[in-house]
Amino acid sequence: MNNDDFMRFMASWALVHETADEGWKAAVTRGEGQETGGMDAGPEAFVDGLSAMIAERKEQLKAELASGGAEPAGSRTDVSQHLDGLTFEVAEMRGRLESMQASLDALLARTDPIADGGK
Amino acid sequence: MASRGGRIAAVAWSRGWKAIAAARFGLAPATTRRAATARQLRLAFQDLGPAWIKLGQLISVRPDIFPAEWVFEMEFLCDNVPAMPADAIRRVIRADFGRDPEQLFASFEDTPVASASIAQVHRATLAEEYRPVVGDVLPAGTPLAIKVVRPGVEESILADIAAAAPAIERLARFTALKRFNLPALFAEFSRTLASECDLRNEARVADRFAFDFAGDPVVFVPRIVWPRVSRRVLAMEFVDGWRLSELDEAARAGIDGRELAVHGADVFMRQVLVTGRYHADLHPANMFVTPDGRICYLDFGIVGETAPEQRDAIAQFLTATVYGDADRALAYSAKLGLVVPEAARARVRQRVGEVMAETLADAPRDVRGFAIGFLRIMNDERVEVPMGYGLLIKALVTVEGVARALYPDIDITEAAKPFATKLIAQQMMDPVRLQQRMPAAIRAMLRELAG
Repeated sequence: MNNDDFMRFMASWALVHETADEGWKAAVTRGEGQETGGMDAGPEAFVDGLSAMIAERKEQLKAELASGGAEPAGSRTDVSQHLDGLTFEVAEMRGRLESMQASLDALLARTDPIADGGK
Repeated sequence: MASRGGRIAAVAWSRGWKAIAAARFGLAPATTRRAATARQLRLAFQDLGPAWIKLGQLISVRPDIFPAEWVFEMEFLCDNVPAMPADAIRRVIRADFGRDPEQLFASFEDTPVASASIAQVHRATLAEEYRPVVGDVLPAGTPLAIKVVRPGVEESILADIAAAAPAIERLARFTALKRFNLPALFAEFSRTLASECDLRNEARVADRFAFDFAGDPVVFVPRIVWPRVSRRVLAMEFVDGWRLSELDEAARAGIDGRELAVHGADVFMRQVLVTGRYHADLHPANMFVTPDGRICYLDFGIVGETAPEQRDAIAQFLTATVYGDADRALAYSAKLGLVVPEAARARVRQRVGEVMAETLADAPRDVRGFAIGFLRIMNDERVEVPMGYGLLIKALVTVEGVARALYPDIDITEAAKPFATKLIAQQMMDPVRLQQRMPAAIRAMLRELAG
């Protein structure tokens, strides 16, 4: 389970239990109110801060669901990421080819007069 | 070459004496002696020109080999050199593309906008629309920055290396210098220079970086115009904006320095801990703040890489640093290849704890002070620092410096916290750990219910 999976899992849990857990809500409120560095103040403060981070992710998840963009892990999102990666690699290769073509053209331009002169 | 050798010897002699005098013939405290040596060394490199400036820049990213004072002094190397005549630059472009700049671009300016030891930069405009590797299409007329390697620079660097080689061989025989492994360092130096003189490498890394941060609206990387890229010429989008030394003007234009500093630190953490590639040569000349409030990254000459298993260890090390836990910091350093011998472990742990207390206990934390102290301990204790580890520490310190230029009160360890927190939380949910802890947790819960 990577970091994003974990946060997504916790955010999903928070979304499902949103109305049920007042203690959770209170922790989120306290976490959101923390000053910079507030999570250092001890285990309680750490949990409050973490709760606020999960709540933030939950809101993102909610927005994704509302826009119809949320999907289970391993589905279209993964494919889309893979596709982006491949598109980049192809574009990167195109760039290198364009640069090589320019160098080749320059060399040909330099050798053409020699070839013409030899005829 | 003999005259060049003579010049090198003369500069070394003159700067050496100045260092000795500044160190009061060895009577000054150790910190003053080290600082004086570092300063004169840096000035000697500036006196000697491009190859030596590059050597200084190489030292500045190798805290694993060189004393911390040298490493941080080299940040002040001045890499501004007089511009080459436009004719010489035009010849390079003509040789690489077979055409004059006016045939390649809609316009080309002979007066350079920047001139450094390896290359100089001229403005031009794009002649026809171009679809870059990353980002939107560049329309015809887009302002471009044309970076051109100074003619003869590679030859001059090779000549300097050849002139310095006998001295390096002699120096390498001294026991005190053996651990620097000067021959290997020179070989690496040559490789680095060869890579920096081939601008296609920089273009590739810029594209990769742009792709990694394509979803981040605050990060801006100039788009590359590949049909106008060769070994010695690099055409990219021209960026207008403020250098970090001109931030007063940016602030007047409504740019929020704090927000940019926090975001910049977060971007660095994402590079190190998520994408696994980071800009290892961030200094004020390599960054701009654009008029629309974005951070523009330039010059991807030195790039560090982190493998997935290293990223976890780095995050743990950062967590330990953030929370002032010397034991944990050293345990995870060992996973990154920095192994403290058993005999020295207790002493090193105590000293690292002391440095943490001095530099990181109070906000804003002083990462630079911690890094210098930490590396000095490793140097004193003769603990070998792996190259990647040193590069990362140096990069972290540089990011702190850059972030503080944007917003002086920033504490960049705060940027590490969300990553560290997620990591700790993720480990709490690790199935193996849960399996180990669950019985005890259930027993404790039952005791609570019963009592």
